[in-house]
Amino acid sequence: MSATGWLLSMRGKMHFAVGARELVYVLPDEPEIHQVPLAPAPAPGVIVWEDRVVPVIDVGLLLGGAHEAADDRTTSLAAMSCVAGIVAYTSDTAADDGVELGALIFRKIPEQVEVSDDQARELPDELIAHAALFTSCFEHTDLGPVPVLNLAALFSRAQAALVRVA
Amino acid sequence: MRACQNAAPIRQAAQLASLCVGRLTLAVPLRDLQSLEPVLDVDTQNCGGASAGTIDLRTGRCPVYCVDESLAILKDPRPEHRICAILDGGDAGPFGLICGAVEALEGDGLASVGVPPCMRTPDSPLEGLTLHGRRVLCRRTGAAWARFMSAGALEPAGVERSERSHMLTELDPGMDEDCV
Repeated sequence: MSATGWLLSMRGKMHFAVGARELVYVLPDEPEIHQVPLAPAPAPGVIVWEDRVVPVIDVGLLLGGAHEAADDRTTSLAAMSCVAGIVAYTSDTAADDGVELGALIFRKIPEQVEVSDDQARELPDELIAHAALFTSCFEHTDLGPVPVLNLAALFSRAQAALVRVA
Repeated sequence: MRACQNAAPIRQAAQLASLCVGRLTLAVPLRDLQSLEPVLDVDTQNCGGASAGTIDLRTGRCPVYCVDESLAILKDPRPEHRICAILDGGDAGPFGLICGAVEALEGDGLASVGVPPCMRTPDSPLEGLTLHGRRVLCRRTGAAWARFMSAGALEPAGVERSERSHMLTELDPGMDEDCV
């Protein structure tokens, strides 16, 4: 059995994936991020999309400490060329149909990927501490292990707690 | 990709006053804005604690605060900061906040949300965000800003957040209703 998803290239040469229906929209232009003062660095602000305030998470920065040294981890979003994508996830606290929106920062446009059951593998050791942020992990032919993001956990948890374990 | 029918619930906000500090826009309920005074009237020789000075009002003297875009205290107002907005600080009494521009915003054009869960930290002074056109305002009551300015945002820019977080107020979800 196989499923399709989106392969996300984050800063720090990190790669993650989300389900095919979880990536709603990729912003065609450089995102205008409205900084929220005193927000945690991995969640620096919000973007306005379709008259909605959508929180932005820089997963590369959030989890970068768990990966090999990356030359662009410390670069501010304003200084780096990036792409933002709107993702949707379900939440118990959301209104109506339970769908919430968030935004993720990518280094390049996401690519579609098809994954079969026999590609499943364990999370890399360096991400075990963050297991709650992932639903699964698969082996990519070229990239190695690619964790699949648990968007509800990512956007519903206070970043302060995440940063402590990062 | 698919269309999304809803996202975070957006509620209409009451009338607000927006206070521009560089690219950051703070917001308070319009009823908390008492008056606007020129920065030239601020006595910067008389600054104590976190304040950048004081200003004399008909009701007495009150502290004046000045912050940067990251809400760190500034002791010296920047040239673009020309207005001292006098706000109702609740139990703390009135206080001044130096800013670049002040605007009254009608409730019809405003939509508010709470601070997204992933952005909540114990030291955040915000109760929510309000969307006005393409602008995002950082919202809290005058009383809450007064507490933050006087008790928390004491250190000049550059002080690590963790060093000052113990001094700051906890996020108070109950405050959110003040502006809705």
